[in-house]
Amino acid sequence: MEKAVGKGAAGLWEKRPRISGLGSLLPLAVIVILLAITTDTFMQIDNIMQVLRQAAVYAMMGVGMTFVIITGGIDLSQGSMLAFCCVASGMTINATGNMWLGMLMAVLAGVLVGFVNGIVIAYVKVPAFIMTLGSMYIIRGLTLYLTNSTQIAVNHATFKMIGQGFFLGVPVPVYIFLGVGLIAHLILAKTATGRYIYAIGSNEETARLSGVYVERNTIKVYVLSGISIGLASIVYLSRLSAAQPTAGQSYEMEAVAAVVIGGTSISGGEGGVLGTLIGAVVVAVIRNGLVLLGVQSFFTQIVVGAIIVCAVALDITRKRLVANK
Amino acid sequence: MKKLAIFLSLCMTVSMLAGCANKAAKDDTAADTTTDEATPAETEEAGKTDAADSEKKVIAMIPKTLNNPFFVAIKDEVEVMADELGYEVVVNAPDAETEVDKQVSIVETFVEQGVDAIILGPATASALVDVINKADEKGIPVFLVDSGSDECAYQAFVGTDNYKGGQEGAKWIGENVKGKVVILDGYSGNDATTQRQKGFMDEIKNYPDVEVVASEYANCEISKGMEVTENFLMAHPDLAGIFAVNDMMAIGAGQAVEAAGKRDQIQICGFDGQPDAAQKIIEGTIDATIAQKPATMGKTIVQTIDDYFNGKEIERNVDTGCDVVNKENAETYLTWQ
Repeated sequence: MEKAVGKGAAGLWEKRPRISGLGSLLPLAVIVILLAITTDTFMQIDNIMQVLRQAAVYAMMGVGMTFVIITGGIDLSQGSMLAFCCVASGMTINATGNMWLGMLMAVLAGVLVGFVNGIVIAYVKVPAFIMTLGSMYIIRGLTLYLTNSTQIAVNHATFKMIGQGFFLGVPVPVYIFLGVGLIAHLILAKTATGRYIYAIGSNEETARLSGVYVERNTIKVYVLSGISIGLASIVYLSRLSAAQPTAGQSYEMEAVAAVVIGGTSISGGEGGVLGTLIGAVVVAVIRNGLVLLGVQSFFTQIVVGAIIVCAVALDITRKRLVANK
Repeated sequence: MKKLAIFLSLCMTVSMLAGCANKAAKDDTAADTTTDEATPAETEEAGKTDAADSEKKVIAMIPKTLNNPFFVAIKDEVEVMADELGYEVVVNAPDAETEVDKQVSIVETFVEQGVDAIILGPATASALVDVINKADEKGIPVFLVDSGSDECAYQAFVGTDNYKGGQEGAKWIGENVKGKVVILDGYSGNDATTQRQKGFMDEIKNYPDVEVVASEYANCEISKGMEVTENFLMAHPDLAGIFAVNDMMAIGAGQAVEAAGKRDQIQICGFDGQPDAAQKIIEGTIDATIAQKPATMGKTIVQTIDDYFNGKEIERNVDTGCDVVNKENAETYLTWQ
């Protein structure tokens, strides 16, 4: 972070790239400082690392959800996809003993579901809410069928290290979610596809009339959501060493929470991935903090809900104040 | 607004660095006490007599969920017993038994916090192994209650012998039901419910008049139990009996059966011994349940922890037993045993 000093630097300061979503650093900072004061464990480096590790799965799911929400859609099938990808991955690892194949399978499973979601939403024009609601049930049922409702134990020592290991003192999943976030940010901010995604979210008809291939890009965002779930499932599976067909129920809501806390508007057209990463960390921090404070578990639900509303209210108020200047 | 965010982020970074310094300081003091780790029992005993009044040991309890009165019953008794013996108890749990990763995260957080002991009801037998081992490495003893785990570094297991309990269920069904029977199972990986189902299946073979036509997971939830039962009733109109591996599901089943008007045709047996279930037996919605003793579990496990801290020998496996509850003795079970 540069400090604004001197006339020459002031010019640079004005020209700095505006990264959307940094507004969500405000609630995060407030919560972190509060927890640092009220508990003596929160600020310890081990705990921070743990929180980041715990945030990884939700952060990656949130990244995928961000793409979808920016286009004005939603992906309710994310939770079921998580279980599906875990199962596909787990079965592959058990069958072949090869963890790379397993990871590839996880991503391919996500691509497959995302592709089907995308095609129906883009070409048949079934609203995203409906289609992904349908796939939420279908994929869950399919996963239960494939596993006969039984969990699949995965015992692969190296694979486990992905979810549970450290690299240079930082948990491996942190590198993964930061990497995924960075790539996603670059796609949104620096590529044509990214611009088309924002355009579709802003106004689909205008985008179409301006020459944007709406259908193709719509499919792309759902596939991207699927890929992000595939990657999230790798971390999830390696943390628990068992693929449960009942996993991830309602987790799409956690992803939506991360996205909105991060400042992306639910109506589409604006927002960014970096905010989502921060949003996911906020939720993980809250969960962790409440346990450290010895608070009963139902309270966590109340707090997370309140934070969602407050974070979005703050963001909307800020935008209105800026617009009124 | 952006400047405020940046300023606060700087504060955050400074606090984190302070945290690192804090940890470094703690590591130094920890190094001094490593020589004592070889004899934890002695240190703990000395610690207890010296600081008996000033510092209470903290026990963290993480049941599968608090949305099931069974686990609340264990928790209540744990809190009472811990209060008597001079321990402080903190409780936290996920919202549903199937949220395994949330349970793992909660346990990790308590381990990080450095509580003195952990009481855990593992959501699945395999997923908690690593965090139990981590706790053990950090010198935090882990005591399992109600549901077991795959072999790892836990100190003791206190709970019902669920396999035997399942056998009791089979005996009751075998003696009271002739014909088609279905099982409402828990969820995959749940050690307690899996053992019950196994015990039931093995014992029911001794009753040739009973035919188990289906067994389905209903996630230990009342609504799912009702749903699955409604489907069973459609699929097997001449159903004669239902065995549910927990009372929540049995009550749901009872309601479904009543709604379908088949109460006279079907006998229902649950598992847990919830006061609600005893009430429903008296009212006639269900017929029997295999009662566990969660209050005894809670009491025994805190006693075990106390023995452990006092350096006494503890039993690795404690079976708190179970009873068959039917219309005759349901009155007794209106309170948790």
